[in-house]
Amino acid sequence: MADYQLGLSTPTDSYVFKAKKGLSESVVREISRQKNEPEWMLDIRLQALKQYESMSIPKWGADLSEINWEDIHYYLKPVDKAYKSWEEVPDGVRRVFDAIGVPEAEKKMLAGVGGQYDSEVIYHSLQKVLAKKGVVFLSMDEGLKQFPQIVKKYFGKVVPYGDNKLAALNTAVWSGGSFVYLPKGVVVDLPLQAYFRINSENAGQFERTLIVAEEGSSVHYVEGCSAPAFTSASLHAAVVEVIVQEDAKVRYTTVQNWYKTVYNLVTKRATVGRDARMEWVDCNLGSKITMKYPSCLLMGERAHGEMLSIAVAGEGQHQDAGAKMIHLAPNTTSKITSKSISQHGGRSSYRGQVKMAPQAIGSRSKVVCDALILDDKSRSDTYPNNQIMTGEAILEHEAYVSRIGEEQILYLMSRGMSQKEAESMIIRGFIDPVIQELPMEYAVELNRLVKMEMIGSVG
Amino acid sequence: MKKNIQIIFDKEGMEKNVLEILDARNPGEYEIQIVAEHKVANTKGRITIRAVVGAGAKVRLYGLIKIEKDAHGTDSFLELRALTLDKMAIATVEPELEIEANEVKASHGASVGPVDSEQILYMMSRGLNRTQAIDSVISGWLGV
Repeated sequence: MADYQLGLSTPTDSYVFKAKKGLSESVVREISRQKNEPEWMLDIRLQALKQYESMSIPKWGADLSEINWEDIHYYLKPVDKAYKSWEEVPDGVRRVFDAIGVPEAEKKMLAGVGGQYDSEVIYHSLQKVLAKKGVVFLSMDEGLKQFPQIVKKYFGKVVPYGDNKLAALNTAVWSGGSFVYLPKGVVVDLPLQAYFRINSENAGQFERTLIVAEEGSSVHYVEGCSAPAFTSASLHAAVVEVIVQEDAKVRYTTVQNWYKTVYNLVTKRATVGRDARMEWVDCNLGSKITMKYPSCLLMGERAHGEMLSIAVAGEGQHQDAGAKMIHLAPNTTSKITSKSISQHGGRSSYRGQVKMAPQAIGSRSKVVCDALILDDKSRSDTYPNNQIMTGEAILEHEAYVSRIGEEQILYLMSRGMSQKEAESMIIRGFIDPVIQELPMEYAVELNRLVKMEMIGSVG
Repeated sequence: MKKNIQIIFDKEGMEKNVLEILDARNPGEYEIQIVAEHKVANTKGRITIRAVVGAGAKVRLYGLIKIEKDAHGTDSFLELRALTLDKMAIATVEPELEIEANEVKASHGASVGPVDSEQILYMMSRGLNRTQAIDSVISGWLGV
């Protein structure tokens, strides 16, 4: 981690356009005008804004009372257009990306790289092979320009703006994010990845991602997040919508390392069709407060939803994360595996829901939550809600909270390890089931991040 | 039917085993809420709720294990189980944990599921009729 400085921040006075702080109808109109959007999108934005104003801040989860909603830039536009190649990207921006290793990622022949610098995707490369297959991988803004019919058909259908206050806010001021479209039967072998990054103090990030996987297609989408150090809190309120049609398979992996002042309030949801499969892999390390509950609506028979997550909460952090599995058809299956670590006074909570509708006959769900508490200042909670509306479905839920087993440490120490090495090894073993599911370079990065988070408690 | 149970562990070395059985074979709404609070060090709790849920019954089982800061050495386990006898049975299970101490062992398990049809078929092959077979599965499951 030596060459990766979280405090790295490039001056951002050179924004082409910076909306005034705070939110109003004129700001929303201005965003839409800047982007040259079709009329219907502006209508949706304005409706969402009204909805946002009428809704109250959710109080059932983490403490959001410290967010100063008036003190946020709702739109930043650093460059005029998205760049196709690395050479075109301006120096200042490039330095930040160099620090987080985008060129290396590309060298590894990844399928496509989209980088988000503030509110605009400015770096985007797409392999010709993908384009030939008919796969679309664009920034959401570009997607709206080039494929307005597809966007109009699915935008806001999985996460409507009335869903919650943050979803309404995102719909009103969204900017950037990814648009992925897979035609029928197309299988993308390499992961598609986008790098997100907040780089201006108080810059709100409201990216919007839409993934449409047509019948029989398959894709693995990866997003990694990193934000530089700032003094006052900034807000990340993304919305991710995934449509998995019959027989298709989508895996969505997030490695999230927001700086410790960021409020990360994200709505992620997928609809899953007959015999289709949706998998969320979610790693939450940074941020001040995270509230994130990726969901699967299992709408077709034999649909499968899966969630694998790691949360690490350190000093002053609250990771309130979980998953939702809504079984709406017969013989659907789901599995939630959640692992959390609390240390240095941090708090991690699992909050999840499994719901089986009366017609979800023969469905099965399994939920496993494991938590480690490393010191006596920290806290861990589990808040599951399992509603089984039919007598012919099976639900299993288990949770376990403990500290690192003394016997395990003693055993490893008897084999010649120091206490710190032993603790470190046990923690790595604890999160290993999730790490194994990550693409190689993310697994390496996450191992480093976890290690860095553990400095002080684990060497 | 609604029942609230509070179990407080406020003496060091305290041990408690609690078993609640809920018969919800008749239609209606049933709810059991159980809260176990561990306030002092070295206490041990074993809490089990088992419910048999029939047609037209709606059951909610809620259990919370709360371990306060000073309650080191707590060992607590909570189990919420619902056996559904009919397609028209509804069960909600909410096992929660709130843990503020680190030298603890706390876990919970919850399940909802129908009577195992293989067990029924086996017993019917041994001469029991369907009702008898289901009854014996239930009593075996309840452990009474």
